[in-house]
Amino acid sequence: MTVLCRCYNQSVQVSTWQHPLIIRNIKLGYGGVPVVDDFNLTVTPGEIHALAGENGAGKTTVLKAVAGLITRMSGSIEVPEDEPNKASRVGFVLQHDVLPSNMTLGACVACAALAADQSSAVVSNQQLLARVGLLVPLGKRVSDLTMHQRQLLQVACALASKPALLLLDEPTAVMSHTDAVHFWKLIQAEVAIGLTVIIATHKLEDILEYCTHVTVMRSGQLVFTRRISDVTLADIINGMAPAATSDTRAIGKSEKRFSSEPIVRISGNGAQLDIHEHEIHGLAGLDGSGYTTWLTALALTRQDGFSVTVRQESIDSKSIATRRKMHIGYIPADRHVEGMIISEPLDHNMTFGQLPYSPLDQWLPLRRHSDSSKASAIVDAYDVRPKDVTRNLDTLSGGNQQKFMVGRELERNNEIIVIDQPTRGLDRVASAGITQKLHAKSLQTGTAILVYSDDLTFLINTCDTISVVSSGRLVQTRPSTEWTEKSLVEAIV
Amino acid sequence: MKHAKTLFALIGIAFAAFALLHLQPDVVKIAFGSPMALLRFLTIGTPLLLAGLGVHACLATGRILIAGEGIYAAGGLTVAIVGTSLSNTPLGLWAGLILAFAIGGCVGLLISWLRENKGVHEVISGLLLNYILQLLTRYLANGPFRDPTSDAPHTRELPWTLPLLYPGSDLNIGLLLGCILMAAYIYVFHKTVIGRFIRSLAITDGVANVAGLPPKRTRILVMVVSAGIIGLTGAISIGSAGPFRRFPADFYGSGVGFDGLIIGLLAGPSAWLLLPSTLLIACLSHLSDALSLATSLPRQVGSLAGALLFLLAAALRYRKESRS
Repeated sequence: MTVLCRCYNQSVQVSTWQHPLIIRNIKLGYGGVPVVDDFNLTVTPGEIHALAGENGAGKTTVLKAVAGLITRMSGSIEVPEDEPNKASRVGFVLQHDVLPSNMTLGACVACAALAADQSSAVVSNQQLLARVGLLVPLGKRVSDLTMHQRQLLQVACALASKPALLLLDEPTAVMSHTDAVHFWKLIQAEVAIGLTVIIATHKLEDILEYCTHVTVMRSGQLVFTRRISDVTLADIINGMAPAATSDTRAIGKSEKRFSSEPIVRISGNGAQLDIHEHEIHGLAGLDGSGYTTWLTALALTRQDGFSVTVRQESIDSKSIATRRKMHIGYIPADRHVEGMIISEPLDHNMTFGQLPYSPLDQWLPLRRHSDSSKASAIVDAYDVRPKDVTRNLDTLSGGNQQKFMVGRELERNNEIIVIDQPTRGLDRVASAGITQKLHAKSLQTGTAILVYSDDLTFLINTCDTISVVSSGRLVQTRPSTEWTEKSLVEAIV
Repeated sequence: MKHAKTLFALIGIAFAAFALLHLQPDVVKIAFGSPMALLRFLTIGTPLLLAGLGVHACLATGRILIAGEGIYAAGGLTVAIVGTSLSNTPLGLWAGLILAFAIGGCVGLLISWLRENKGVHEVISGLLLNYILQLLTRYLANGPFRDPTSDAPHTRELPWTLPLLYPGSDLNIGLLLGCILMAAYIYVFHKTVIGRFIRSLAITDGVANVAGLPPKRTRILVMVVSAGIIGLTGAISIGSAGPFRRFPADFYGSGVGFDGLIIGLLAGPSAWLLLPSTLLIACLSHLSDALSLATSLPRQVGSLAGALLFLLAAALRYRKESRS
């Protein structure tokens, strides 16, 4: 039997630089709209350089420009050469992976190594996967991996090419706290042997704990670049959005009173999860803890050993379409696969998410004007940028796409909403905005909300009740006021 | 710069038309020089429009219907058998058309069921079914259903033709049906909510699934209807006045199924481009007939030009996708 384990002692050999990476006055945009404007940055070898900024600040665009994925721009980017006259190897971990779903993990890593002419890598593919914390067999297919595992596979593929520079775009957005800690240790170990890292992230505490330098961006422009020792959390928040509040707690949370009779009851694995009208019920758990079964049983299809009742009526045999007609909404974690069509404009994407309740409406002409005005209202209410609803979604940053999708579903007339990772890729201000919107929804319309997030702060601030899931079972359920981040982590682990 | 490619294509077409007019004025005269020639052009275009529509609908859900040629032949044979068997009843015509649609739909059902439930790629099963349908239709037209009074291998002649749209020509209600189906297709797939969800299947299953539209069942339904339309196309071709009205054993290979594939792929994601794509391929076919008459050049020249166009379209698409 093969035993897979995480190992830190076997490092991946990376290329090293002698000279800094210099970005000089770059200006670029999409469809005539400037995204990065007169941006300058110098990254010296061995740095873990964080890019911080609100959603749409231009962080991903800068990373893409450094990776050479965007070439139409003014200004210059000087990437040092590994050896004289030899282009430097740059690894890039995208926020949304582009891994071929029908390939095996082994094939993916081997291809990445081969593409970078590193087929004779020092560590084996299995060791590399174990090193990044991906404890699954090499023969498993990409399509069978969770989002978090696919993210780790991207990291393994990037490291397989032995890069001198590693670009990371929100790598920990879908990782649990434990996995994120492991990930950061791995990055620090690689940097210790010569890797240079530029990372875009919204997790500001991680920046302060693990990075060496931080650059704050606002509206595509440089606000400041400082050593971590010279900066505080408040400096970063103020740099990102001067008017932003750091208070992310829900308003009016303590005023809620629930009826004794729940409107949703999910029973499974010997436990019972009740959700009442006006209640926001949070689920916490590690990736692979089985929390998706609880969400899926309510939002999508029957799960073995689970039964779900809504207003005391069993919905186990109900199709997804019937559940939507029963006003059970769903916001999926993977916005690109299940939430939206990113090659379509925002107003077209208003159609998606839910079929019209009436079959006749499905066959009637599209209400373009109405969709357009609804999309505009969401763009305004959720501060989606840029405001043009005729733009394709793929020209928006990941965070703005997320805000739009969450807004679209929250504005529907649903009595129950199931949400998987609502704040994925959102900055602190946008997360706080989602907290307020969820609370307004539950307070004003009585909507019962079941939400999973790996952002424990968000859960504590947003939810009325939090249940911890482990091995598919509900381990503990308590009012959120009785949880602290520490107690939640202990319960989860 | 935005319309540079269109401008370039228009200049190319204008140059080709000028060259053809200058070098071979007879060809253009034969092809388009009289009302009857234009009606002939429309008659050629009718099955192409329907076959292209069938292929395009499948492409909109991310599936490719490559068995069009075999389904076209199966539909033609069905109407020939039913029409001659029920020759004494007025139902023969309509029963033949409906059964041709049903036969096509059954082939589509088999292909899509294998694809959605067993993972057999529709191109592989489609190609194999093409061979099976080719051999089966040839055997039936040359064997059990062969016209015993004729030396040539074909079925008996149908006692009727489809109602004509213009007396004296071969243009029949197939064109009308094609236009109605085309309008319905554009409306359903491009103007309704359900159509937008169906087209999202070409990109991802997840969006439709989460919203409550089952992706597998939808794809199967679309392929059944698409293949049914192609089966119906075969029936319309056999039920036309003119060269057919009986099913020849070598009917498979007439090229309509494959031309439909070219039309569907040339149109890309836009349903509106189906019409110009159909006109282009019909024009090539019609011109190559005329060229063959005027210069004794083989009519396969048109197919060659179509193939080159197809390659060009594929190359441009590959270039675009590799850049993105």
